[in-house]
Amino acid sequence: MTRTLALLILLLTSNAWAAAPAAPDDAQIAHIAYTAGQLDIDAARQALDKTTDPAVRAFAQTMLRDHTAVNEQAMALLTKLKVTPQNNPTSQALSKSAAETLARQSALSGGEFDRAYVVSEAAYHQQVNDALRTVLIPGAQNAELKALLEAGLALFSEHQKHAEALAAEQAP
Amino acid sequence: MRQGGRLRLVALLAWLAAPVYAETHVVTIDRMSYHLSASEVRVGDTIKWINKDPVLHTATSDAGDFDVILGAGETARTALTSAGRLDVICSYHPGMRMVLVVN
Repeated sequence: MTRTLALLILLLTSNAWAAAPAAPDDAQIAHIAYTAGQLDIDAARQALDKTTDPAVRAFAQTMLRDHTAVNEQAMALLTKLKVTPQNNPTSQALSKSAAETLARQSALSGGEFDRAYVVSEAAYHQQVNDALRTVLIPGAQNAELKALLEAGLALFSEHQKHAEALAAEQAP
Repeated sequence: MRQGGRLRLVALLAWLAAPVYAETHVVTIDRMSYHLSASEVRVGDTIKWINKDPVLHTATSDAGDFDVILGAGETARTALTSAGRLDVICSYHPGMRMVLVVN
């Protein structure tokens, strides 16, 4: 996941690559942000099915609750703005990577699953937050969408720190 | 005691006996942080919590004095009944912390 997403972010932020895709517009930005949230919800559901560790469980419940709430807020704003989220290569790359992660983690159990989950959550949130800072927030044209993304960044930055702290505790 | 001195004594006693009115201080939860506007908080005062974030938070005292759950947009009140330093955390977001010094 990390390499594909990192490459796409590099392409989107670099002006030196003649074949680089154009910077995403608001409809694509909204799709990327919503997809990123939905994928974390899916990861949280897998964790809640598999983990028995109370701290990992609490983290997964927070991910499920928070990303659901933010996505609901995002959809309400997009409905109000009459913006239809548009699928795009970045959303597709995110989805592909997340599917690979879920598949890999589905074969794990116990402490091995817990470690893999919190480590991938820390990395995932870091990459999404980097994309928010460097591409999505600067690129958002609509002020309300920009404000929503900025609030999302504050929330997901806390998620990142939470995951990193758990990953440090879970280190074998 | 002279009359002037007596009057000053009465004024001093009246000032000492005057009631201290309890205040309400607002703590806003916004972008994963607690924001307290007051510079001084006293026993008997009330904290009014306002959650401006879109997600569920708590305001939980590590001393066990209070544990307030706040949905998005919700408010709640906590009466401060004892003096001291309170560490307030969110049970769902470990990075969210605030120190409340109650005089």
